[in-house]
Formats: sequence, C-alpha cells, structure tokens
Amino acid sequence: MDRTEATGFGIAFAGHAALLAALSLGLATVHMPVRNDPIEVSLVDEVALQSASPTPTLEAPAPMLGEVEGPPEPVAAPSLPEPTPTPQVEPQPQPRVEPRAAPPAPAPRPTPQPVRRPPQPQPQPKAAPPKAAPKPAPPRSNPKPAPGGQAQSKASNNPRSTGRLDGLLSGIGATPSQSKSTTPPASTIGSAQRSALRAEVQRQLKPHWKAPTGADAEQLRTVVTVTLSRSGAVVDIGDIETTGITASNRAQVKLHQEQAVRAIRLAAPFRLPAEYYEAWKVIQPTFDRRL
Amino acid sequence: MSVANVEMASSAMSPVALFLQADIVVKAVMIGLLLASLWTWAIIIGHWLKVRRLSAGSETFERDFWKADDIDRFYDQRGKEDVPSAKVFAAGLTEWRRSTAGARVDREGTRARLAVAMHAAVGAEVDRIASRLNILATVGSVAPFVGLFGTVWGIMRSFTAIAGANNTSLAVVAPGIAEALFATALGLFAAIPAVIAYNRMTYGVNRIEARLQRFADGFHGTLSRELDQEG
Repeated sequence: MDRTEATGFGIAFAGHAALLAALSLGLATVHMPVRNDPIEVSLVDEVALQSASPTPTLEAPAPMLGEVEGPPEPVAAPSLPEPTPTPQVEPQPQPRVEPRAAPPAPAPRPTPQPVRRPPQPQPQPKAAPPKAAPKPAPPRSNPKPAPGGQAQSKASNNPRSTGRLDGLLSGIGATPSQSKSTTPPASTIGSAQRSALRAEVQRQLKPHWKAPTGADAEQLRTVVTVTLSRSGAVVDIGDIETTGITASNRAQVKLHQEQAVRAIRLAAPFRLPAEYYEAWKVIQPTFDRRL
Repeated sequence: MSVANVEMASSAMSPVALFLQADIVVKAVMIGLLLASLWTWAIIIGHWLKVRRLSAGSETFERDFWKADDIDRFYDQRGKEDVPSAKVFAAGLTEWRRSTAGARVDREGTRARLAVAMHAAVGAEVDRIASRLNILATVGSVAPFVGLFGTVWGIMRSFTAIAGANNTSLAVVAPGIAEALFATALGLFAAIPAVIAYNRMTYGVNRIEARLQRFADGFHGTLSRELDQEG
C-alpha cells in the first residue's frame, strides 16, 4: 500500500464515519410533522323512533251519525282507501283501533310521539261518541275538503246520520281495550325503519369486526342469523352462511366465520330502540371486507 | 403518535440500532459490506489521486522530452522519475544502449527489440495503475448478492418471529424487515459506487495506456531514425 492508497483509505474511512454519525444522530432524517390520524366517522341518519305506519291511536274511530234518511256521504268514501268512517264502523265495533292502511301511506307523518303512550288514552273512547267528529280529524286532513261544501260543514261539528246502521254504534267505546301491548303491531315497522335498524346494527358491529386477510379473502361474505333478547343480548346464534368461496380462500372461511361470531359477541348487547323489538328480534348482519 | 414516539422511532431506525438488533449472520453481512464499501472508496480515492499525479507527471515529462536536445543527457537528468512515461523512456533507452553497444548493429533486430521492450514497459505501467480495479469489479457484482443474502436471512428470521408471536401485526414484523432490508441497502451502497468507479476507471486506464503507447511509438520513431543515421 503506497502513499496515495493510504491517503485514499484515510479519506474513505473519515467519510464513512461521518456518514454513519450523521445517520445515527438523525441529521439526515426529515422530521415528519405530528399528524392527526383521521378518525373514521360513520353517519347513520335514519335511526329514528319513527314509524312508517299511520300514527297508531288507541282511540276508537269516531262514529259518524248520519241524518236519519239521508244519502250516505257519496264523496269521501271512494276517493281514499283510508278511513272514511263508514266502512270502519261496520266490521269493527270494538274500541281498539287496528292499523289502518299501512301500505298506502308510508312515511308522511313527522309526529311519531303518540306511539309512546298508548295506554293512557284508553279511558277516552268512552268520551268519543259525544265529541265525535274532531277526534279522527287530524290524521285525515285530506279527505275533509270534499267537493261539497255542505258536507264539510256537517262533518266538522255535527254527528252525521248513517241511516239504518245507527244501531251498530251502541257498543262502541263501552269496553276498554284488553291489549297491554306497547309496541305497534309488526306491520307498522316499515322498510325505512328496517334499513335504519340494519345500519345501526352494522354500526355497532363495525368496531369489533376485523376481516381476515389473504388471497381472495375480500370475496367472502358471511351472513349470521342472530336471535336477540329484548335487552339486546345475544340469545342464540343460528345459521352461519358464507358465500364467495373460491379455491384460494377456502382456508380463510372458518376464520371469517369465527371473526363474524366474535364481532357479534363483542358488540352485544345491542342498543336498539325497544319499540321495534319485533323488527330486530332476529337480525342477519352480513360481514364482508368492509362491513 | 406523540413527539416522543417519533423520536424513539427515528432512533430505533438509526444504522447503529439496526445493526445492534440484527441477527449474527446479518451482522456479519453488514460488517463485510461496510468493509467492502470502505475498501471501495479507499481504492477510488487512492486511484484518483494516483492517476492525477501520474498523468500530470507524464504530461510534463513528455513535454520536456520533446523539447530536449540531447536524449542521453535528458536521461541522466530525468530518467529515474517515478512516472509512467519516464519508465517507458528508460526501458527504451536502456535497450537502445544495449543494442548499440557492440561494433556491429543489427538494425532490424534493434528496432524489434526496442518495440518489444517499450511495449512491455507500457504494459507493466498499466498493470501497476490498474492493479486494484478488479477489486472494484468484484465488489460491484457481489455486494448486492451478499446484501440480498442478509435480507433473505433477516426476513426468514422475522417470519419465524411472527410464527412465535402468533401475531401478524405490523409492529411485530416491521423491525425485522427493516433491519433485513438494511443489509440490502448496505450492499447497494457498496456496489453502486464500485460499479460506476470501475467503468470510469477502466476508461481512464485505457486512455493512459493509449497515451503511453503513442509516446512509446514516437520515441521508437526517434530511435529508429537515429539508428538509420548511425548506420
């Protein structure tokens, strides 16, 4: 090793030492600013205590008394399938109100509250016959402006005569309802509520769901049938079905199902509106890659 | 991530920390590659200094040579210099003196011997200059593979760690992968300058050889003319 080589070695050694020192002391590293990791927010806007059905009231429909020999109100009856009093009184002389015509009027009413206190107005039906007309009026603002002006004035205040059917009214309102149910009948829980409940279930499951990774693992979809108690606890986990199985992700299927069941167990008890228990007694959440 | 974590992460990724965390095999690979890099740069810098000194010396020597009136006196003055051109010149003149010492001079034989002697001197000088370049070539072609070996070994080890920890989270995998990749980084760090320097220096050595050859041819022409005049 001659002099130039020794010099070269010295310079190379010094350079390497300097580089190592610079890297060790972090002189060459760029300081990344502290960043705020984005927080995942899922907006669920339709978890509402709102029924799609017409506002259920436990009051009896007001009987309408027609004039003794008069013609039986020709206009209102055919225009709406909903509640002209005539067809209602006839088949149903008891005070309890059945869900009237849920399908035709899906969601127009923004006043859901009456659902909550059905038992309270129970004594009222007795008072119904005297102040007959005004009671059913609020849900029925449409049929009232009937073409005949005289019909309106009559219907608003005076009991109308229904002719020969008068005798049928004698029993109405005499006996209070026997039902203790506080939830609306199942048919009043409409599709909007069901989808809202489904979204709410998914939202509660999401933090506990971790999809397995692997080849084609994103094609797996597991549907679990879960029975819930009224408190939201898991009573039973029924069928577990996985679709999208290919040759390459067959090994992941079991893990996928286990993770799905685990997510359900972790997410329980589910906090869902008790009014709609009928709708979420059995839920079938679908687990896929993104839930 | 807080500031303290960032500090910790940057210190955990410093070369020394990566080296200390590594497996013994990966450590050996890293040390070897670091030495290779050191050696490469020592050769690059040393060669650069040497070539610069030698070619500057050759240039002044040749300029002075073509200006000189008396070749014999020039040889006495400058013939012992440690410069490639001076070596070639000395080889030629020594051969000339030997060949023309006798009473009868074989012109053709003398010309051939002069050419061979100076050609041999040129070859020897070029060999001396280029003696370390093969190391650069070796480092340039082997270092990436050595680094890759270290990486493969380190990744194997970190996969074993995954299996042991029963956890596939990135926090378990990342340090092992990082230290393993550091071996490849070192390999490339050593190999890239070596390859570039090798190509560049081969070209430089070829140029020096061509220049020495031209000088030798010119000197051979001069001696050949001298031979004609003597006879």
